[in-house]
Amino acid sequence: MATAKAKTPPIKLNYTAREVPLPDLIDGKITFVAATIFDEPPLPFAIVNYKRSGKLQKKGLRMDLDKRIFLDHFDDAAFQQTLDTTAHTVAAAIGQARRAPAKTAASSAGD
Amino acid sequence: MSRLVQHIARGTTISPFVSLTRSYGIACGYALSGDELPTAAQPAYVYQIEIEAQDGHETKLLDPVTEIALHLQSPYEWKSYHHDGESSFLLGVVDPDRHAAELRRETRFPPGDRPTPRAPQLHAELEALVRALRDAEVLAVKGIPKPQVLQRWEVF
Repeated sequence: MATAKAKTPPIKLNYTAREVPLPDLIDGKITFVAATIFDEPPLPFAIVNYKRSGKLQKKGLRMDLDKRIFLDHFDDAAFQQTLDTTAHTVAAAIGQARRAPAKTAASSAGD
Repeated sequence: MSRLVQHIARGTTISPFVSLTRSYGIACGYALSGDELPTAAQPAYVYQIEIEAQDGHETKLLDPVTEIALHLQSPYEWKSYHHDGESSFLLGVVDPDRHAAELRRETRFPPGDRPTPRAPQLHAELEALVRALRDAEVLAVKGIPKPQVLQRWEVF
């Protein structure tokens, strides 16, 4: 049977991410502000930053760009329904930005 | 079977399955895509787990490709999981966001056939097969007991 080993130092991954704005994407009390996408490696995920009732949320929403769904689930049924119904539109907007060539890398890590 | 296909192809996260991958690179990709970018102070995690066959009393592993293949139609059947598009159609299935055009490319038919113009057919079984292969995916039924966690790497 496997046993847990001692803690190892954090590993810095090589990746390039950038933030793309999501203008005019408003649904009720939710405003989708921007998304972080990954150019290298080209991951099919995005972190979507949003405002709820005008307040920018610290944690973003995880999105699967291939399936065009938000991966997070919320107990607030109305909020969840809004996410479910807007996911396709948000993913399409992110996809458009993702397919456009990156002008500058907004954030990157690695060597 | 339906729930397994839905889990992989449709992103149903409320399911009895936990997606695992045999690929460290893919695991790192999933780790990066949390609700915020990981940092040295707040890293993401990649777990290395070890499940031996005799541990199967607690954790059952499924190879989705094998499981789906068991339920595919006979090649004699009219209905099939196969697509009827170009070979590049699979690029669209593997990477639908960046190769969306391949999914929309109109299907060609033999001379004389005049069906309604449409994109190639894509069945959920094929979608799940391709996604599982792409992500080197293995499914665990229920959860992963702590003793089976061999290593946890902090990544950022």
